[in-house]
Amino acid sequence: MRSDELHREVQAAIQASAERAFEPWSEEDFDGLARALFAHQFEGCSPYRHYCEVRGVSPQNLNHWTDIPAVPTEVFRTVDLCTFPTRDAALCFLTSGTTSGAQGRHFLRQTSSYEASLGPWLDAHLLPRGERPRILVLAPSSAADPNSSLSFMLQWAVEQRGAAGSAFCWSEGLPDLVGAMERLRAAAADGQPVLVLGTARALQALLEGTVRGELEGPLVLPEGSRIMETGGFKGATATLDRDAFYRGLSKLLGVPVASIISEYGMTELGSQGYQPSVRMATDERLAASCEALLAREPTLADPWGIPRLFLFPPWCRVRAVDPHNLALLPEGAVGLLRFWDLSNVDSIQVVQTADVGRVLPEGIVLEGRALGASPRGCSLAVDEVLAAAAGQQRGPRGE
Amino acid sequence: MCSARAGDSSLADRLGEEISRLRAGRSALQALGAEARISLLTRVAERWCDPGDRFRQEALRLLPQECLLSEQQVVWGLEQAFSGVTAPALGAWWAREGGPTSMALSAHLWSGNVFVAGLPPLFASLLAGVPALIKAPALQPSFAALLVASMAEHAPALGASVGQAAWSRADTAATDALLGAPQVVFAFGADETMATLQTRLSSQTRFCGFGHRYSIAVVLPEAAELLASGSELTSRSGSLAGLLRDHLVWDGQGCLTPRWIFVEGGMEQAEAIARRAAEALPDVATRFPGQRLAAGPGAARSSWLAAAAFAGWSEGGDGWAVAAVPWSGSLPEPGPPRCLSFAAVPDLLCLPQLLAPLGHRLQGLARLGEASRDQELSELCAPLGLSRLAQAGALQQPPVDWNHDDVRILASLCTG
Repeated sequence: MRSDELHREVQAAIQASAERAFEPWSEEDFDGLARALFAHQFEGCSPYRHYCEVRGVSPQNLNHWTDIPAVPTEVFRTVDLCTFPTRDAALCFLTSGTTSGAQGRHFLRQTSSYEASLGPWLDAHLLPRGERPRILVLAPSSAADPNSSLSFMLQWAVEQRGAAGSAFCWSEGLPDLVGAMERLRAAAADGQPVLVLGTARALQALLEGTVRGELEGPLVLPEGSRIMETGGFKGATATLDRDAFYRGLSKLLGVPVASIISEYGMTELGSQGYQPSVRMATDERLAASCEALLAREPTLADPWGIPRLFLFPPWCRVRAVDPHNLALLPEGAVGLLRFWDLSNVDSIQVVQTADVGRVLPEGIVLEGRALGASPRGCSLAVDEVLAAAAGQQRGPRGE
Repeated sequence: MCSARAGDSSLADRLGEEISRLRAGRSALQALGAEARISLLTRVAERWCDPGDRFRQEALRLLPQECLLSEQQVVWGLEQAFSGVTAPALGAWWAREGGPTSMALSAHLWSGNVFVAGLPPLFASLLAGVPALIKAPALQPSFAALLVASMAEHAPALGASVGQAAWSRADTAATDALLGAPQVVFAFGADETMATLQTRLSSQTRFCGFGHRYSIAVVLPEAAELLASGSELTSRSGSLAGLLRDHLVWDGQGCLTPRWIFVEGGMEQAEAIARRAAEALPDVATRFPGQRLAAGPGAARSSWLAAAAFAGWSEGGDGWAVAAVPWSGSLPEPGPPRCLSFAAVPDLLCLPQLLAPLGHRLQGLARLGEASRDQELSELCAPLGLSRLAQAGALQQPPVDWNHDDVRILASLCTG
């Protein structure tokens, strides 16, 4: 089966890349695998094939991997984008709903390439010395939320990298803040480092609980402890909030801010991006390139000297496109971010997001999320009226 | 002419003075007689159609930035609005709806970027001999100021009976000062704003509120077949280029901009027509260029283009996009501005059901095809609120006496 072959090829390429310390892939290597995946997705996913034909692109006339038609994340809400019957899916990750109420769906026939992609990159950014700490998660487990790609990733981390005593602090749809603080206090007492993984919202709740006196704190976690937050502070406008939040977390848990790592992921992608805070300490080449970047663009540094930057693995390339005409922009220009993720084997590898940012050689700088424009003049906001008529409300996006 | 300026310490007080001045000028305006008022109005309109007029030139300098339109769109908007203000047109309007009035003042609350939308009620008021005070939006103050100034210069007898100021509706003291004075209020804006305004008026004040609306176009089967086969339509049937212009003149915005183009027939015809539109759009889009898309509108356009391509067919260019979508039994996703959606429908009889979720908010319908089905279309869409039906290419050029939202504007001023 072509899909199985491709999964093997992708996993081998990822493993080789990890063994080569994630050196950038050659154009030839990336283009070759991207073409193979495009042919597979073109043949296997008939809606995507139709879409590509409308765009005049086929595996036979594809010039370059950047010409592979991108699918906006919104389309994942209305079209099943996979190369296999959805009934054969091992997993279906769902995004949150929007005006229409529809959730984006990312079907996975098998999870091996997904795991092959998330593992080494997570290790490089959270556990760069091969550590196996106790992991405490302030987010639902896979059992509690089987359709969450974030929960899948966190479950993988607990099962594959967590020491005894790792746990999900989550109960009845909410973070178990009291339980989390008890476990953190126990960790502080026994001197073993802890890796705290959580959504920004749950970590914020932890912070607010202690400020209000509902939770006992602060405490000092053992040296080597780390925190990964996800799902918040994506935009430049949130920078100040993010800095205050990190400062507060650091004070609450006794973890240096340089040991707090921001993660950026989305349901439609198999790969994730991380801020290089921890990895910089162990990867000299990365540290040097970040230093050069901050010398060039000092405003990218947060108050602790960490670049406000997300790094994606070499099998996931990112480019910014011009919102006006969707043309690729030169390096450093602000635009909508487009991802070519080779770990998306049986879905769609090129995903167009509404996230705004700049792509630098060192990584991507997120500037925020594109907001829809309000209607001008005397025209009716048709979609709002339709949503109101359907009795639905606009909901949050993302994980 | 006198203008109250926002930002003064006592805008409400200044408005009070302005209201007194305008009321005092009512008898002089009435004394002119309808014929003289028509003559003065046409004189002002002619000057606005004159490329050498200094107020028009100033408008071309200021309005593109204020209204987020291109200069070409502003030129088109001005010429469309003023070229129809002729003595025969005003005379016919007066003959149909005019008459004596006891009103001493009308208020005009303008809104948004379609800067000429508020002109017909203003012309009606002056035609009826009722002084008028315009409240322009705080972000788009220039057109009202230039218009009032031009009246003062070119037709002083009219200029003495019209005033303007721009402020935000959040300045409730100023808005209350305005709303307490007139016998009739014409207001443009969102439905919620209209509802709020109405609650702030006394029961003696007549209120004509024009909420946000949408328009559609239809392609009748014979026209669809001709267009799909590459033929041209007769002049009575409208034109595809005219339909594209109807969409782009106000940058894909405004209540008379068709949001969907329903093609009676199959997807094959809808796609063939959309492909012809794609060939013509670069030229029309160059004549009516829009703003460069920022991230939000760009992302919305990208999603719409892709969703349409998955469902049927789509193509995008610089400042335009077009799609053809098959019949699905429900209303297709509305396109962002400057994105034209040709939607196949088996029968136009389905329109009332299809558009029912949008309520009584249909403003206009552009028809591509022979006029023989106008009566049927009119009756079909009347329950949806339709108040203007025109051949494609003429939808955005309503006559000055168009009964916007089915409101008899001049008649509402002439109270006997």
